[in-house]
Amino acid sequence: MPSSKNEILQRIRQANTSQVTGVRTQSTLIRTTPMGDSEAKLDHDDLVKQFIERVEDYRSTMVEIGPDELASAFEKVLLGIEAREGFDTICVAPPLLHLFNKTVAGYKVTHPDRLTLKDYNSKVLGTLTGCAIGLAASGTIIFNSSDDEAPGISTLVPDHLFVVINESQIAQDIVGAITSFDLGRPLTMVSGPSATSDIELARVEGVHGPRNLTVFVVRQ
Amino acid sequence: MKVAIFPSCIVDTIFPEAGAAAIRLLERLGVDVDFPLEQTCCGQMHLNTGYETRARKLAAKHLSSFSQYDWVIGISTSCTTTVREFYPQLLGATSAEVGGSGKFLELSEFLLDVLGVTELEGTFAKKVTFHTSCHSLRGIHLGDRPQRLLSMLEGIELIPLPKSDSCCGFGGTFSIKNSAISTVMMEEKLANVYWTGAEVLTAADSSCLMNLSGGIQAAKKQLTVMHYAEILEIATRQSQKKLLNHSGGR
Amino acid sequence: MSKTSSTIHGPNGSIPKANTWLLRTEHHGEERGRIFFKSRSTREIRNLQMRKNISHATTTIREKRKRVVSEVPNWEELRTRASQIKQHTLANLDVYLEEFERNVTRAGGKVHWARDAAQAREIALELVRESGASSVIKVKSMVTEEIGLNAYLSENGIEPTETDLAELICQLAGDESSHILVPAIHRNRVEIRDIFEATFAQKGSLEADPPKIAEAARKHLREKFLRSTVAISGGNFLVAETGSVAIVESEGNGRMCLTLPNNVISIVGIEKLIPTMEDLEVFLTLLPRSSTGERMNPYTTIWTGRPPAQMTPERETTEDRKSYNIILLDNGRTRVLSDEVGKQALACIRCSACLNVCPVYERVGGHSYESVYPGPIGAILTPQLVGDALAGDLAFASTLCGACYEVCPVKINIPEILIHLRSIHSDHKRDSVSGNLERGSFGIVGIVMGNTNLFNIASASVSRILKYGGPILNKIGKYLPPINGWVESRNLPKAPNDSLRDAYRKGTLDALLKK
Repeated sequence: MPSSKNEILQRIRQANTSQVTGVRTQSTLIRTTPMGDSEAKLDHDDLVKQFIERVEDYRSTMVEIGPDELASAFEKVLLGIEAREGFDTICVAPPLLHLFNKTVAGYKVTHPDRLTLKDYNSKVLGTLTGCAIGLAASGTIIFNSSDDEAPGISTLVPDHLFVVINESQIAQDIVGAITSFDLGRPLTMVSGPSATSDIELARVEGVHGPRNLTVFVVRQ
Repeated sequence: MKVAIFPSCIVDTIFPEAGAAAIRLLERLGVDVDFPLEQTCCGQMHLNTGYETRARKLAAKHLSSFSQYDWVIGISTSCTTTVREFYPQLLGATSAEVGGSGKFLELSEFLLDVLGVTELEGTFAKKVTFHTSCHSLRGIHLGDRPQRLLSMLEGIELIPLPKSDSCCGFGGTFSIKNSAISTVMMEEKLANVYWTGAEVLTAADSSCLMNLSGGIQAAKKQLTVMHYAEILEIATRQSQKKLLNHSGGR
Repeated sequence: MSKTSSTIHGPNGSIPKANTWLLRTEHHGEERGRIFFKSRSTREIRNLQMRKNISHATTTIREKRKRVVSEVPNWEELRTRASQIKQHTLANLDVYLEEFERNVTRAGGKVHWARDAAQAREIALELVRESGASSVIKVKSMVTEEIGLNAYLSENGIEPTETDLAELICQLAGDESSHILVPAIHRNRVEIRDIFEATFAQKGSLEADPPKIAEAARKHLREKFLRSTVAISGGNFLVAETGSVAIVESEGNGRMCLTLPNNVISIVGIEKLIPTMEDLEVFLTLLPRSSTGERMNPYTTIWTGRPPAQMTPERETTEDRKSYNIILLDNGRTRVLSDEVGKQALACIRCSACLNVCPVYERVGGHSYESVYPGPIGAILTPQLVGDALAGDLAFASTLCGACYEVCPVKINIPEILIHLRSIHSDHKRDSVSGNLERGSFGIVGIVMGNTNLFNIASASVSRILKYGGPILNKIGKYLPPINGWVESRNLPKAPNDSLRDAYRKGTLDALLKK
């Protein structure tokens, strides 16, 4: 008996060969980019504006800040969030740790390596992290498990996700966006907070992942 | 320019008034239109119900009935769709091409795109709503051509039909094979029609109209149902001078 | 169109029984019965609550889809491109599958091949057992439904938990899914609240409010996410050049399942392959807009082989993820591939746009299709996967209105395939009385219509029948199959004075015109 692999491959070859001529199915590919060349490229300011509008469309919070304003803006945002009993920790991606002095808005600032899965579930209010790039056309943020980022688990389990993106990291759309990554590491595309439309197709945020997404856009 | 009319077997046998209206309308435009009597049925019903071999024979016969004509004007969008969109697969692209399935046009395409009609002199002082048949929309892509022609008439009030692009539930033998679903679709379509308050319901397809008028009569509602060719014909009937202006030729 | 109609049961053998797991007919068990779309839908359509739920939902999503599609200037070009990518991949599927296998293996994953449902289930069970787990968490997957995985795991002592909200609702209610994207669409918020209170939530503890219901599900499932060591997923796209798998989702349950447990098993149909990451960009533009009417779905996870485990002190930080296994499933797909017309269906990316625009689906709901794959895509996929004999009248579940083809992001010509499948069905039904009656009638009508002289006589007699018989038929027709369904709710057309051809011949056209 042939292995199931060989059997399947054999069936494919047979299906793709004409019974009349014995010739294999021919096929050619045309190339066209996903959003097309017909769409005029936006200038930089409009690109950033579109990114902000479209991330906001997912009911995310957008904060535009200057180069040195992250720490204070983050504190302000945290102060506006309703406290949750027992959740006294903020996970901060290692490259951003130097911005804080042990605490921010009364929360303990903690390195991801010192947190367990259980902590993320029961102590960590949210995670502040960098990202790889942003896509304006769809309002998407891409994580590539790089050193700028907090680990995937920390951006997934807590209620709040805070992302910092530099305006230079914003690309027009998906064209060329995911082909440029090292695929040895998982790639995660995030567009707004976790959401479901499973009940009457009414959108509800925060089923399993973060309920709230806040994005800090750093303008030069 | 030799022009033939292809009224469809349903119009020929059950709604001849729509075919007569189209012929008179074309004549008023100065188009010499023939009704080739060898034509019977395009084969749509057989094709759609799964009798492909029979449909292929009907298709071949249908094309040969019109072999001497430059244009074949249809007034049933589903039949014109069958010829133009499905014959190439049914008969093989080359033989459908040789037979000229591309010369089959719907009335409004012929009037607007070939004759270049830009105005119509005539009055139709009624509230009218237009059902967009599936095949006019997605089969031969008529767009709003019939409505553009209607809106050239004096006094006509075209009331948009909510969910105009959703199917009326006819679907040929679907209305027999799955009558419960067909009935619900028809009733919901008619509820929208009644909601418009229109006096006249029209469309570019007599099979949809057969379905809908059947429902209207069974519900004992007062609503006139007619093909849009009939409206154009009635509206332009009284004019004495040259009725229609067109630039000719595409 | 049915140039290859004989091949559907042809070179690759007959339909194996194992394929019937995707059927949801009313005769359950090993010998699953055939689909009766007409009788099932005639019953379902009386469920007014279901119809209201579905009509509300599909109307909403249609508008959303239209809006975001109109933002993409070259949408039509993209559809063509996507269709070509799929056709190209299918034409070279053997080459791309082997390339995919090589790349997954290089990245530390393991590829398994399953010729049918039974083999895929056995491989999956074996893998779960190897991991030592007694329960698994699941990412929503059509293919695991197709092979009846959950029932099989349960029978063998492994407890599967669906983590997608709608799948969880169906699992708890014992419901069958009724939509590809939103499986519990046939239920409204009150019904869902009641299902939760009847199972894991306390009676009277929940409001019938979507955010409250979602919150209850979050709490209920959170513990399972943290505890589980094995997750089972499907896959939206497999990328041959890299060996990557992409999962497109909204809730984050997919990310949870793919990130937290150390063992992940994916079961994916062989038709989900695409050649390159660049191609993936095309599909990620098309899929969310077609599916949920969003510019992008909340979460897409793309990984390759065995990614590193999440480093936390609680887990073995020095060790990589223990295992990544992927099972490539045929289960009838190669047979579909051998059908010249029908193979288009393999391009499907399960977006469910065709369900959302279908006027028939809107009225009868997903259960009427008696298959894991409902709606227009189900009407062309199910008959090809299970064979004409079991698919019954499913190919006739459409008015051929074409709305599905118009929205399909990979341009599957669904009406064309339906007509093709109807032709296969008509060829096969010679053995039933009603089938022969219909075939006979269509034969006679075909002969009459194919002969101008006979047609002349017939068209005159139709007029006479309607004139003298119409009023009577309008009264008693409801007892006369096959016209009973028509006459129950409609009158027959009134008889014309003359046929068009007779009036034309006699020169009396003006007498036909309306006054």
